[in-house]
Amino acid sequence: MTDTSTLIRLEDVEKIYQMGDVTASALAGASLSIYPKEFVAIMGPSGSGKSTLMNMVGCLDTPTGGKIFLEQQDISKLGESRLAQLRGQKIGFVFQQFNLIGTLTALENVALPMLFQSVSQHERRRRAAELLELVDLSERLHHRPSELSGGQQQRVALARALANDPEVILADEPTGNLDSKTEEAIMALFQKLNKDGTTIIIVTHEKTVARHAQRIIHIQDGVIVGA
Amino acid sequence: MRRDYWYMAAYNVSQRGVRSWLTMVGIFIGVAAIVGLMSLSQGLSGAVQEQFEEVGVDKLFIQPKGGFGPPGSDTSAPLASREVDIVERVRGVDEASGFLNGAGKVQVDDTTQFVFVAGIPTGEGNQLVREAYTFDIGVGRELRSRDRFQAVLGIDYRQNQVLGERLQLRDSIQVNGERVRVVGFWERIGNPSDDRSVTIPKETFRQIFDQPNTEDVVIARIDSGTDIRDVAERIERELRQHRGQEEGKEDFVVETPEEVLSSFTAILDIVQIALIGIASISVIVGGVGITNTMYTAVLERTREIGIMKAVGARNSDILSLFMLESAFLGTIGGIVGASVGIGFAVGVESIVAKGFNITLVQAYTGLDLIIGAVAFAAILGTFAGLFPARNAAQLQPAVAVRQ
Repeated sequence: MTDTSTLIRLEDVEKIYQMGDVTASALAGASLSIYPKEFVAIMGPSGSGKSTLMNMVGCLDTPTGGKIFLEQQDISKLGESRLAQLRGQKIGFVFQQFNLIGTLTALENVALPMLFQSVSQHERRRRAAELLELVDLSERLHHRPSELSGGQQQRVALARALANDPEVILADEPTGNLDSKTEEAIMALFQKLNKDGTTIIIVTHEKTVARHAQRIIHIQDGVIVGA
Repeated sequence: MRRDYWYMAAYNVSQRGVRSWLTMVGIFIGVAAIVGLMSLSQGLSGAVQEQFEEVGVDKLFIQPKGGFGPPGSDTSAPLASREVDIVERVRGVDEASGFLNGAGKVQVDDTTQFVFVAGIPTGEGNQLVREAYTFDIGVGRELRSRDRFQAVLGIDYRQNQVLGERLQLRDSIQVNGERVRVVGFWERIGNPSDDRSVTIPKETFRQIFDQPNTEDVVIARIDSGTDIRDVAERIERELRQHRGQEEGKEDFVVETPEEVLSSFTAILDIVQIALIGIASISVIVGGVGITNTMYTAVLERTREIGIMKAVGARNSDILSLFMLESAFLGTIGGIVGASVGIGFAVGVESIVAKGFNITLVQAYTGLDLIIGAVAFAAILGTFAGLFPARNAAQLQPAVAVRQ
């Protein structure tokens, strides 16, 4: 446990959900390490605890047991505000449902994470435009999500994930709603980003997606069964 | 508060279009009602106060006791002319004089009207009565000491065809069958009863109305430097003795302008409090409407809140955003409401002035009223959004983002 080179480390992480009198264990002592600049896929059948694991890694939720280290800092006991700051600065999310805000344009969606980091409006717009160019959407800056195709929306989401220059991009079934051709394009983008030095963690149950990763972590019944 | 949040909150409010407007309607109706009522009642009490200030604070009014109404409207137990001398002899009284008034029939050819007729002293006591009787001459001249069958009329006789035709100086009218000649018109006073009044010399009034030895109102000017309340008490005591009445059972009253004013303003205050209380209910209902809209917004935008939290929004950011939205609804509702309320009051003022010739109803349009109303609506809006915003802020990002 003296490995100081990990970016994210989970030690015996447990998550028990209490629903009335019933308790359900989503994670039952999961341990794993993720290193900088890695491209990791987390695979497992539905109900295996994939999403819960992603919530833990992404600081979206706190564990009921065990410890989570982000760059050697134990984040398992941090309060919501501190976690929000960490998410904003160090983690970029990409979701299966794209999760763009429908009333905002592509540019505004990409600029949103920077708003919460007190970046000036001018700088936000400049960087958002730059990122949209990176994902090949310079022609669509002022389109709303409803005016974009699924693949375009996911590229906007990717650009948004990069907004605050995060340590790691966490993608939850990023191609689950896309056809196979668009899937390839998005995965190529992930690989490009990884080559440029961004750590990428993809949660998926599709082998075609996972094969892009350097390492595949399998999860079943809330424990890591193979890494 | 970050400027970006203001933009974002305003943007979100505008995105909800009709629903935002409907929510604001709830606030603006209430605010408009309160502002309108406050504007009118403040204006009215201001106008009443002004009139009393013109009369001056060094005068006492002695009248037969009666109900609430204009001086002299009571018919019971008039004051005797001899009692003016009693009043004048009271220590602290500089001068006393009386005047008469009543309803009289005025006529030109076949047109008749029943109007307010006043008989004022033209010689001794004229100045005192004229000080209290604050009308100014608009056309022609005042009554003089040698006048007998001369009259000063309200401006309506000159500007409108009150008696079949517009009257001019030197025209004649009949008052209770006696011919009097018009020598002047008052400036517009602002209420129809005064603007149609007829003022004649007191002695002529006595003759026409067969009221030889009584006074309807006695005015006493007090010596400067004396306490007006002490003088009022002494006058009361003297008149009580003269009339052989017990304390507390007098059939006359001695009033200072302040007392008359305070009885007016007391009634105005009660009416104002009651009306504003009723209007406040609608503002509170409007506030509940804002709370409701904001709860709905939080429900609808759970996922959006989750996304914002996932990309780094803290609980305090979400709280600020939603409370700002709610404050916007209140503030805009307040601005619209205050404008509508002031507009309503000014409209009432102009309708009453033009339609009924009453200038006493004035709209108060002070900035304090407007700013106060808008601030009140803004604070109400902010508080109305407090609980929904707290709900939004406390959503679990992991759950919210998957809604």
